Amino acid sequence: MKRAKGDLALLVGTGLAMALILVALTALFGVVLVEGVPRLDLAFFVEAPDADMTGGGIGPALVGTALVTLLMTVAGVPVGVATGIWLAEYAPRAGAWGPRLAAVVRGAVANLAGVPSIVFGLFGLGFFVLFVGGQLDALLHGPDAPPIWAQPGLLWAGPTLSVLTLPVVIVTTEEALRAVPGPLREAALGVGATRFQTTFRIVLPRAASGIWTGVALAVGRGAGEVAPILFTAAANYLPSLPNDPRDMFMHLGYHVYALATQSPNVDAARPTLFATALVLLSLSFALSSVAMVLRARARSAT
Amino acid sequence: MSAPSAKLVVEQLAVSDGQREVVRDVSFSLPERSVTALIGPSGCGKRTVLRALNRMHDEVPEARVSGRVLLEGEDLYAPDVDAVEVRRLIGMVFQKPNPFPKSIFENVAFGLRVGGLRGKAALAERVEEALRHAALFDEVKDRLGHSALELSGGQQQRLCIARALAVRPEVLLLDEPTSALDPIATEAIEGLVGRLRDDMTLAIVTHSMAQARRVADHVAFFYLGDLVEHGPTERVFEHPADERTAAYVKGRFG
Repeated sequence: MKRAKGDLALLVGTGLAMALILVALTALFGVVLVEGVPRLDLAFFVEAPDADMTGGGIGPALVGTALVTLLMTVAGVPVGVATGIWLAEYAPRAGAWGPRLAAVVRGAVANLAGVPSIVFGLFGLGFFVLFVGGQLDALLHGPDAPPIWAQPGLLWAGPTLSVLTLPVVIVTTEEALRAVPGPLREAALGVGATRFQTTFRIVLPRAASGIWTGVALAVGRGAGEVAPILFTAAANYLPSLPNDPRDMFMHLGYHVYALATQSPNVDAARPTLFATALVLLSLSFALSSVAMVLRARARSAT
Repeated sequence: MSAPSAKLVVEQLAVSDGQREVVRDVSFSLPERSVTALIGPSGCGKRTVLRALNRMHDEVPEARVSGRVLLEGEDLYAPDVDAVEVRRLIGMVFQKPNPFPKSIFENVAFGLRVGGLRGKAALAERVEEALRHAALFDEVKDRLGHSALELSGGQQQRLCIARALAVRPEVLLLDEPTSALDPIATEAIEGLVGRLRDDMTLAIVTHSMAQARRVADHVAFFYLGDLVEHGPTERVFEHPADERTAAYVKGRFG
């Protein structure tokens, strides 16, 4: 039996592509691991960085990342899930204008997903910090008071990031709901359940693992983003933890950038830089693994 | 023999799917405490008519229903009538068994819970009543907490019937309830339908002429969106008035 020529070419071509991916991944991780691991110890996770950014740890950046990610999730996920529910369950049955409005919303969501993250940063600065914050200042302290709310801070970085993660949450929620078999809805409606009861007691539980997959993906994406918090909260060097939602904070992703470009001694900061990158990578990986496990569970449930 | 009173009266029912009329000018009635079979070839509109009887078309955005459906004289399509209330009075069992991915108990209790019934004892009592009614209780009484998906297809369909019966509807609509089942499970469902007739009104859509003969007191034959003929089962099968009915019941098409 002779292998056809085209078949062989395809095998070699796809094999090379796969090898390239493997080499790239190994190189990336290899460097980060080799350079970063020796720098890791318990103190690294707890301590604040030294003033010249070569020693100390990443404690404040870890806490800052956790806080802003939490705030982002709390601010964004409910809105995203609710939008997904409306798109899948209510819009198609909301008369003549429902499907049209849904088409507009879907278009908007698709466009939102394509917006470069730096633009979200500018939006966050313009809308949340200057507009919403400015209005609050004017309302609470009069028109000429110095800005108290209208300053970059945790409070504004969370919502800015949540806007960025909305498309993922909305799209996965809608898809998860659509995957729930129609006969289950009919069965519920057929015994006199309202649409609300049908959605919340039958459809949502069935779609839960699909929705959680989207949430995990969105959180994973949002936790690693730097651009949206650039103008809305991230601090270059701020060893104290935020103790007010209006405070600025350190962030892992931004810290990587700061270590790589802002350190007075880039070579001395190198091990710290790679160790920080390693922690950031591990966090992203952990979140996408959670998403993968949830997705597998969602598949086996249907 | 006096004519039995009509439980459900359909007057000039027409249903459109947004593009064309699927059924038109359908008028017939379901006599109280009897089984009426809706028969006819695929695409004749029998299922569309059945689903109009408990306003399931409300869930299809494009569907338009005109005409009247009267339950004991009250028009179910009147503007102030809530479709949810209609479905509590007129239950439905679907073609494929569609139990919820919940326990056997919770499947039957669902309609009671969404209807506002609270209290463990009250729920347990009604669930048992419905399961007994559907001739399933003895088979599942030791595993009410198990997933409904562990049951066989025939048991699942009887569970779906129990789920519909739990809210004590006055009319039960069955949409080809045995088409996904084997002959033994089919026999069990047919026997059940025969017993349910003693205290409720039933309508069943079926593809099987033999099944219509076995379970139905009355037959309505649909063809291409029209109700061609409606009458006692015996009469329609033995002496069809319309030649299209005659051709269908003798198995010449469909």
